[in-house]
Amino acid sequence: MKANKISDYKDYKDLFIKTASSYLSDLKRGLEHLASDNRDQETIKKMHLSSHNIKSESLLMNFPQTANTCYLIEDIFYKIIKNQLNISKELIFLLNQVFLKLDKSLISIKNENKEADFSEEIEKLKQITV
Amino acid sequence: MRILLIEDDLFSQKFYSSKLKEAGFEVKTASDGEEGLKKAKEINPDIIILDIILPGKDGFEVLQSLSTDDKLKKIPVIVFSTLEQEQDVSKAKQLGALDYIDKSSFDFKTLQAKILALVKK
Repeated sequence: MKANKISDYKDYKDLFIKTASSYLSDLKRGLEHLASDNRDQETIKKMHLSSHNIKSESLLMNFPQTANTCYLIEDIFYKIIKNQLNISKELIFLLNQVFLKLDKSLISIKNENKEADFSEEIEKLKQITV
Repeated sequence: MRILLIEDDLFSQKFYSSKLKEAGFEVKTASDGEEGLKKAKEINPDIIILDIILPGKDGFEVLQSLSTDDKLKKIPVIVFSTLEQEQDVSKAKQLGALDYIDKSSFDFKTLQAKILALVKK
């Protein structure tokens, strides 16, 4: 997945950090809820929306690994909504790990303008979505 | 030329609005489908740019509602999509969307060209 150049978009960084962090908080809260009730459709849809929005923002800000990671999370929830995928304990564990990494990545972006390396997480998420 | 942008994400809303305004368009925004339909009736935009993934009423439902309104169905609609979900693009076009923009390879000049092409029709 390609991302756009950010040279024109420096001013958007603060808003990106603020909104992406908010969506990530929604994802973490949602995951906690799904751990006890994995059939809550409202939570699942909200998590689909949140991952979609972080993906969209990351594409515009030229953070391709973050975008690819969140695209895969979005796809996972899309498949859950379509009853093509079940929420397992393994999936919850993996998503928890990914969300922790996303947290660290946003801090890195805020302080160093550099996203984390999500290669390992992307491969694990791809195993789920295939 | 007046554009209604229906997009829930504040960052994306600001980004696309800013680029469109710089290009000389008048831009109104809505953060969800219901608000989008309400504003479309109020301001009668020349074109609607619509994200499919929205809270509450999604983009498909918005397209359905637009198509059943005698006034609103005449407004051209461009949808945002993700390339890997091509079935969503097909569905959107069946529901009345005239074109789409792939967010994963967004290029403003392409969006601008699509807007101008649709409004000329």
